[in-house]
Amino acid sequence: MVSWAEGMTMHRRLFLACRRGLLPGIAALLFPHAAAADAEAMAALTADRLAELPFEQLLTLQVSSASHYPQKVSEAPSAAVVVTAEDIRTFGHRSLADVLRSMPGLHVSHDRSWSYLGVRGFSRPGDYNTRVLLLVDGYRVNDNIYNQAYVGSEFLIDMELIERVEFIPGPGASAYGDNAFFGVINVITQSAAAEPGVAVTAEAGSHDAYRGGLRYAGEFGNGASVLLSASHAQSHGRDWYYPEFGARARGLDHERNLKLFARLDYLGWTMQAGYMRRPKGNPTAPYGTLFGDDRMETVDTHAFATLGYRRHLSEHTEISGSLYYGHYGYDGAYPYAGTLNVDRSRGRRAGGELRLLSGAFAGHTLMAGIEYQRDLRQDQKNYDLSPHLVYLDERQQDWKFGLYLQDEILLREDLRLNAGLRYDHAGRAGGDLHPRLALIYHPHPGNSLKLIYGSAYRAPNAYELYYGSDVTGAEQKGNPGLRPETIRTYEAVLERTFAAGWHGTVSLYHYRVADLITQIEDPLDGRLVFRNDGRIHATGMEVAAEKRWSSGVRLKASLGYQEAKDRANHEFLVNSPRELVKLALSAPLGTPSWRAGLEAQYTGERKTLAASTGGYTLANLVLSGRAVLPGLDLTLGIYNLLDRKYADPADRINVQDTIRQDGRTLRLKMDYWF
Amino acid sequence: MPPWLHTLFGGLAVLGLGWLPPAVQAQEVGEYELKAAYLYNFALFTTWPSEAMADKGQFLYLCVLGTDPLGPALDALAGKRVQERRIAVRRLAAPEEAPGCHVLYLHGGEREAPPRFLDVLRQAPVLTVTDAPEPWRREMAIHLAIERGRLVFEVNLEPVQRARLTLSSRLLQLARKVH
Repeated sequence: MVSWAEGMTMHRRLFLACRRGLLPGIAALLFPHAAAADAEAMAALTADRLAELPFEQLLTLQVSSASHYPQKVSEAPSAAVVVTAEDIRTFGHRSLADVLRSMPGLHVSHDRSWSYLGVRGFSRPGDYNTRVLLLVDGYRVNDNIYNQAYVGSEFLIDMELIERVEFIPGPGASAYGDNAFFGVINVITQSAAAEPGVAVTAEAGSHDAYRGGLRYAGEFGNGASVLLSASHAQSHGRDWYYPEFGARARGLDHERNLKLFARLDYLGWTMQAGYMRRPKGNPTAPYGTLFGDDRMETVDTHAFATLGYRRHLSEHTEISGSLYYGHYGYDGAYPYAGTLNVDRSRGRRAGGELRLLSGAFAGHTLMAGIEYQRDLRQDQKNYDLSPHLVYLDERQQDWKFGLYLQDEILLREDLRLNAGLRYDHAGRAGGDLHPRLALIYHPHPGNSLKLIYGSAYRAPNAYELYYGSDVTGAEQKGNPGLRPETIRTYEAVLERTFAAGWHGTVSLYHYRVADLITQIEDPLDGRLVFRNDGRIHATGMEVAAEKRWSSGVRLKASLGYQEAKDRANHEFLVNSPRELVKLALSAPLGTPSWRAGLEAQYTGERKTLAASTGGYTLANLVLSGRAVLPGLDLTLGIYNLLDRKYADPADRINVQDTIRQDGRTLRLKMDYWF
Repeated sequence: MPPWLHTLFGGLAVLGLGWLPPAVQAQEVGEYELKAAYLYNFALFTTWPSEAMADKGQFLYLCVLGTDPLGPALDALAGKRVQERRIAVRRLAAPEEAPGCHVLYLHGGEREAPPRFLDVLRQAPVLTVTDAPEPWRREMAIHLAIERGRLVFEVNLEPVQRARLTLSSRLLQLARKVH
């Protein structure tokens, strides 16, 4: 099912511009004089106009048959997983982190500031999600200082705007380049036609959490469609007792966020723009700050704009391109006795890509592309407010460039070879070439065997290279001598569909990471620093099964077991659960409009920097009602139903060895369409 | 509207063809636009069991499964009214989402729809439409094909009845074949 859905994404992209009447439309745009005469006639024949005609008349019309693309293309052949808008609603996912948590082999940890994604056992304290690429409709969310994938409440867009989320495990570097080290998260937003009209969202939840949103989706007769959304959320957060400080942090886990998003589609052109700002408190007193001081706050700001275009050059060849601009700002206020320390960064980038996709040669699906990004600003500053003392004032600029080619070769009707090669050059880190190879045997629909080899590299980011200071009192220092880290992966994926309607996937993998960029404490001066330190090998297995009964009951279950070890000392990694078990069950509640969704997720014991933190089971129960009154959807969610006490491994910046997480919380959500 | 009125209107429409503006009559119509318009008409002439309409919802879901060349053409229908509901277009990532749909379209280029696809739909009140060749052709309620430049359709009554749908007699008359 999964590879199938994945291919579909590609196809959707392929065919976006394929509609008859679009090309003349584009021609009209480019050559207004030549096409002007046709414009009116063409406009008469859109589907909505045709739908006005009596059916009898439609039957008599002469049809010009459209071009059909020859073959399904899998952009990234792997054990990809898809979560749809329907799943998000049924299981009441509040953030992208909730969505990712439900996927096989993934775990999410939280330090009360940001959420961190662990992929197949990799989630190192001190890393800011730099090894996963996060895309929203093709736009790279990862900023250009920390290269962070923002998956918690700090994610760019509202959950209501998501049509689906795909996770493609394994290095996608041969197609995506930087950051696609352990995997790619692909978020696809809803089309304006999915739920047209004006809708309001209102939410209330535990710890004085409120959220309100307004969105509009509409289509205009001229082929343009618009999606607009705005939301604001705030939460007081709960009070936390920390035995390390022997005190309770009151009212410090607060957060607010504002998210704005707009998209305009018109004749193959897509314009998107978004804005997100989130101030967040932190009760854990990181970096040796004063405990219980309410000035502690981090503010993340994102702003982006993209312009994309797609057109068919011929029956089998499509060209697409995009331009983007991205801004990321971070402002941290860290209270110390006598002074407030300010930690700031500003990242700005602009770039573009051009891609050609062609099925013109029989038996081949070729994809070639070129990407360029200019890092206009990579500023990091750290200073004490008073007395004024500047620890760090680093301003950098960089650029990167990528060139890739991928061919999917149909060896036999049921056998495909997918070969990709990408060359990346980063201004500072230099160039590198990484190949990927996948053999896909596909004897019947829903049954396949894939053998995948992949490789990737990740250049050190501006934070790892330059953040820190030699000034006395600084806790961290930069290391401009960092080299890129590399990964090689071997994976086998078996997918089977059984007679009784069960669908199963088994995947076995082995990852080898070399020159891992990892944060250590320099024994000479006690400062934190990033080093290319050591090699890591991970071996694991994931088994997933799902079934849908005709009664409407759906079940998804997965089991992951992995061992990720440091080659130097043969020890397991920190924050690396060996076992991950997930279960998602949903069933209609007597009426077609109400549904219950139950999720249970077990995360195995994890090593921490000093000791370990025990395994835990999270259960969430969500009741969702669609159109319970005309136009009204309701969702009631109980998260951490069993009120389990659990904690995530902490970073070196914390006094705590583990950071406790939320107990049972409630959320009531209402969506109303006018 | 009583069926005889449908027939009368239909007949008048056919007679009225001679008076059509030449632009519509002479020009070729895009395949996807026309298929989308057909889907709209299928929805107009289908009666769903009360269970499928019990949600008092305001949308009639037109769903597309598989590779989606029809997309933009279908999107143009969004918001149009069918039986007091507005059309909403959904793209399905997996066949299992289909039970929420009123009309489901499986594109013929999609050769890889899993076999469990039909199991999922066996009882669901969904009008299934495809232009895919065998075996989908006989398994789904309505099959579309281009024949000598005209878009024609066949109806398979077995899946229609299994889904507890009622198709108007006018629709059945217009079908090229009813199996």
